[in-house]
Amino acid sequence: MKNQFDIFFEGQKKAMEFWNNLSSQMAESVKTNGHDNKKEKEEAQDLFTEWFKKQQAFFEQAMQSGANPQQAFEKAPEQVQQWMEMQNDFAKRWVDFYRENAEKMGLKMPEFPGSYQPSTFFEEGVKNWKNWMEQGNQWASQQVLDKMPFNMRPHYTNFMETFDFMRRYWEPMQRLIQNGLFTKDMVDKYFTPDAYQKVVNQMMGFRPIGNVSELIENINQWFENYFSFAQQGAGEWGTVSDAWKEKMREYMSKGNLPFFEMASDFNNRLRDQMLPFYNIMAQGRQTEMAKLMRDLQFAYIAFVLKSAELQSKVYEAGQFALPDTLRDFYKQYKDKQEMVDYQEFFQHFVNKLENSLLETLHADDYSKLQSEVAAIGTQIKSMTDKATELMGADLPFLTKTDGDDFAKEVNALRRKVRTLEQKIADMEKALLLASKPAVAKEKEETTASGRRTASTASKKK
Amino acid sequence: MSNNQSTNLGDQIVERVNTVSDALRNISGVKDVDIATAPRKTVWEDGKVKLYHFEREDKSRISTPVLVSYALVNRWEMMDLQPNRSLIRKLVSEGMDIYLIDWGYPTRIDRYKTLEDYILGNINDCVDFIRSEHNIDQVNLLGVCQGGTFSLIYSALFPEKVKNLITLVTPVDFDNKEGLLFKWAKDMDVDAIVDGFGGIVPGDFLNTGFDLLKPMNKTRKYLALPETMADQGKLMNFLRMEHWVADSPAQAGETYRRFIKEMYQQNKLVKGEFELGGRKVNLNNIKVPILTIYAKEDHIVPPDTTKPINELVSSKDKELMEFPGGHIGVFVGSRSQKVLAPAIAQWLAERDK
Repeated sequence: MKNQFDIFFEGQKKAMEFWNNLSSQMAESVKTNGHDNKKEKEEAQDLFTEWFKKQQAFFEQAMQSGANPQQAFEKAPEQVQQWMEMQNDFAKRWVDFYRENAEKMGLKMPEFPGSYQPSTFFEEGVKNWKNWMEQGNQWASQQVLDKMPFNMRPHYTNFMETFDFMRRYWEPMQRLIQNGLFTKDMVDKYFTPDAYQKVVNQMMGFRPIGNVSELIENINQWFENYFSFAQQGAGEWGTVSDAWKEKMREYMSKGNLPFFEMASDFNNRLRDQMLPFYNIMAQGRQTEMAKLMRDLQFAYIAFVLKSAELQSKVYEAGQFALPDTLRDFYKQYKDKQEMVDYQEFFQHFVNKLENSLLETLHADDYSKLQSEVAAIGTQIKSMTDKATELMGADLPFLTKTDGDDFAKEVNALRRKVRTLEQKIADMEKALLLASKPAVAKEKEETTASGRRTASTASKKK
Repeated sequence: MSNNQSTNLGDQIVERVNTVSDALRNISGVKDVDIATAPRKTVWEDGKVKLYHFEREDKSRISTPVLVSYALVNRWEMMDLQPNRSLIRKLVSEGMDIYLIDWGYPTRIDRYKTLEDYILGNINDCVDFIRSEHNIDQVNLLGVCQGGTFSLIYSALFPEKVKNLITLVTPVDFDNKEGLLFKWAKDMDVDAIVDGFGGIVPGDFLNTGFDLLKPMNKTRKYLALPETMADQGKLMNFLRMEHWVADSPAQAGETYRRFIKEMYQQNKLVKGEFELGGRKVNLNNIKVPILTIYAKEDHIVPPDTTKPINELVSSKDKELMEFPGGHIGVFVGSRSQKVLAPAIAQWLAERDK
């Protein structure tokens, strides 16, 4: 595994390789010149040699300081400043030299990555430093993560993933901005609905439901497996369930819409139809378990359906955030001919997305749906707890239900003690008012509902 | 040659390197994220609930002690996030004698703890302790957010024990359509939630709700992180806030159930229908001087939920103070340090007879 210093040096190495390659091409260009322009050739070579030596010295120094991480961080700004000055100086001298001598020398244009323009020439080098910066940022992010409380880490990781994920689309986004292409259909071709949903999921902390029908099939399958296993010892009792399940399968395969409402309704009907069946069954732990597992199955399907509906609402709400963002930046590009940087683009998109989402979050139907999702989710948790208790009922452990009994008793006792304390306090007061000696006024108070700690056990005034 | 362009690029890259370099150095140097460092002593406790007394070197300028009642949601440490952003320290330095109730971290054993237990039990016990300790009849109450609602209820039931009342970003009128939290709470199936969670509602569940109020807040915060990290002070502030947000206590189920139902859903306190321990809570019983402070851009407790306090009490001496910023800015904003604590101190000093 790479450590942060490997990453640091990797960036430096990349930068160095670039300049080395460039230098080789330049030297080659001078050497292959068929004309005998000795003076210019030497001048060019001297220029290159001088620059290359400086370059070498610079990187050697950087590498040496890099051996000490603390020193490397401290010196980095100063070194980069020197490096930038060196490149500026060299670029200027090289360009002057080229202008004066190129034709006389018959120099061929070195094959730079990109057509030669001083700014491009410079930017190529800068790119490598940008890479280094990004890698440094990654390392810093990891450091932040390490210092964060554990339950905040997923939020931060989600953000990092989203930021990096969208950056992959930054090149085509720039082209869309430049060309004024921001209709939703066009944007969808480059940034697909799947990609968009991935971003929303990460930002909202959704666990994507994915293909609802498939998931419900899987849920049913899982429970059927469980029941098949249970039936080995309990006989045939699932006929009603089987019949309904078959109908549900048929219904769903026809692709009837609105899917969520229909499926949810169907699920509830199925659950209600099952109740009489369980009521006529023999009582006992096994029956209770069977009923609970069926309830869980229905609850889980309901949860999946409601969650999918909720997520759909959110996806729908924000679907124009990206096209709108592109349109805004197209206007800016048209006016100023300047491309926004990725961070600003991302920030603008995030703000647009939030505004769109908030409209939906304020809607009545969203609020009700969210409430249903939360209620079903917690019910599933409760049922799972109960199922676990039932499964382990013969084991010699205290259960949550036992714990609840304790909690109830403790709270009732605490309340009684407090009531008694207050009664005593009232009696003391009454006695004082009646000019009788106070009872136990000077003794240290130690009660069930409240006690003084040793550090402040001062006498009352 | 486009030397200017190159130089600009150069400046930009050097600036970025500077930022990252500072950020790396700062984050590498972080060993511990400490919050709530104002010196204090635990002077009373009851189970998980503790009463702190903040230490001061000199005699308090305002003779009547102040009891701070924070919300059950989140932790009181927001009031003492760091030395230079500590409302508690500032209140102490302004001459107040500060006590604060730490509600602790409820667990399953507390699932049946009720509003009666918190208000008639814990708050009343703390008030009595301070009265007894200082040999006084009345204390000053400062309630924060939900703790402010508790303080209002307490003051209505025990007016004889309260000298002055201050509510800070406190909801009282829950019939609000502007606040998302208020809207969602109305639709919440709180019985299913409380029972489903086995009687103890996890802090993370509440945090998810708070996050959704401004769903991109975290993204914006993390986006600015490189610049935040380049400044040691901002970095530590960021990390402390992260720790505070993460440190979200669970809620005792029965208290949560009742608060959501009778406040958010039925708005009983404002209607005069709320009862505690068999006694009707009439806010009109509050006749003591009252200072109501709200945050202008509060999206958690919108101003309209707070402002009616002064209309519901029968105090003749009442003041409404608007504070710029949001719910949290009241505690950690620089303006809070400069303006809020001195304003509270002055208001109390004028009534400290």
